[in-house]
Amino acid sequence: MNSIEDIRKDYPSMANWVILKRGRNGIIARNCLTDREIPLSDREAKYLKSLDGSGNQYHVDGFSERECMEFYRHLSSERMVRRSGFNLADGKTVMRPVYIPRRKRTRSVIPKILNFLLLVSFLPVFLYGVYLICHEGVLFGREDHFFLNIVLGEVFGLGGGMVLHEAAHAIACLSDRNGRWLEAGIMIRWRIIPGAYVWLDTGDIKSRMKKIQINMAGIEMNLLLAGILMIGLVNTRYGVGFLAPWRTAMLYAVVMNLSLVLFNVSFAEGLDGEHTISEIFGKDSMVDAAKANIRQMVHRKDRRAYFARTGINGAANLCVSAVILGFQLMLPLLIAADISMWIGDFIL
Amino acid sequence: MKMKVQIFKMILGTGAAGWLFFDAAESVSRYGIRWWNLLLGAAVLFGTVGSVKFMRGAESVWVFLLSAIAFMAADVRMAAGVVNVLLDGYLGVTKVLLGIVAGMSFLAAEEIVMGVIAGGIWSGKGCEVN
Repeated sequence: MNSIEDIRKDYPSMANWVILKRGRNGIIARNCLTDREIPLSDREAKYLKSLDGSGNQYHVDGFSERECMEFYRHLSSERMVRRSGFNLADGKTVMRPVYIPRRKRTRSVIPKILNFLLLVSFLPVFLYGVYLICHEGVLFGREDHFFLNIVLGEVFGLGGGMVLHEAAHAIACLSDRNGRWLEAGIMIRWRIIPGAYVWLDTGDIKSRMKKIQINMAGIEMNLLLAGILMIGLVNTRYGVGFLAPWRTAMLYAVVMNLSLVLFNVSFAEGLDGEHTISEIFGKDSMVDAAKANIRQMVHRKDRRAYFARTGINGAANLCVSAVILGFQLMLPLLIAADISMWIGDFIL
Repeated sequence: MKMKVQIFKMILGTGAAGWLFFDAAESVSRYGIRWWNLLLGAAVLFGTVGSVKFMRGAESVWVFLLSAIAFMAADVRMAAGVVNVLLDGYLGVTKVLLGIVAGMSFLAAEEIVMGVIAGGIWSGKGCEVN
């Protein structure tokens, strides 16, 4: 298994998204990048494991040059080796790993406890925070360090919220003995939106509910943070407590965390909400399924065959597909709203 | 005729759930929210999906669709409330755009909750999208 040091080296290494398993008929390599399972011979698997980025892939001890060329060509075509360098790009997203764990799963009880605490606390804490804000109110007088407060609120609210959001996904995944954490890093989505990511493998997790919880863990964490900050805001409203000078920062951090929740919960492609709804419907990607549904309406013959097969439930399917595709407008709407805010600042 | 009865049940159930959700959204204030309306609305919606015959085998799809319809008015109301409180003094177009985004986010959250409950009630059934 490679680490972040291995991909800094000059030569290709075994990709951290490949999981080798011994099956009845030999070794199976599961490629989490392409979602394919490829049978490998014992020698090929040994060759793959020996690629650690420190040596030439065509000169590996114990393998002839011909074997090396053959194995490398095959493994490379199956995207099971990671060439030196960092970024992974798929057209929509550029991902840059920051941390690659050496051990991809754990039997430790700590993730289980943390995940349990998150699960039982996020909703009560958030609702209690909302209750306090509604009943007690937030008093804002003249605050010191106003500008610093805003900067701290934005930076820690968004940055901290994002990091803890991703950490919650990883913890939720590791709380299942079959869940694997492949890497963590930063990314740029749709060439516009920067963000953080954790790459998880939930392929061996049987429970659908567990997979849904893993997808929702980040949102749960942001709600928990927002709840804690709201409670802090109300408890420091008379200027009492060491956090009292940083109340504006806390308010901004609450807004940032709630924005993260609202953004991530939507069904726009690649976001947590879309992964969750795909899991609920038992699909790899709900957006792709919706597109396939709508595509069947283009030609009359396909349309007839579709309705003959599915009846009134097919009509419901189509409506659901239309709603899911409607959610893909979320990002353009958000960008348009942002632009209109800037314009408004100049006009008003 | 039977189909008409089923469709009537569906419209009635969805309408009743929608009204309950909207009433809950209307009640949001510093004094609280009518939680019972939310619970009752969800129960009416699941009851509708469970009792309408042509929905059998595709319950999750119908829960998704009927929830989207039933929650629409409540989401518009909540989004308008949020936008009016948080975006006071901004351009009208900004309010409309962010209102739509907020409404969509509320709807997505509700759909996930309803989907999870539906998955629990009709586990292994009705989870197919053709």
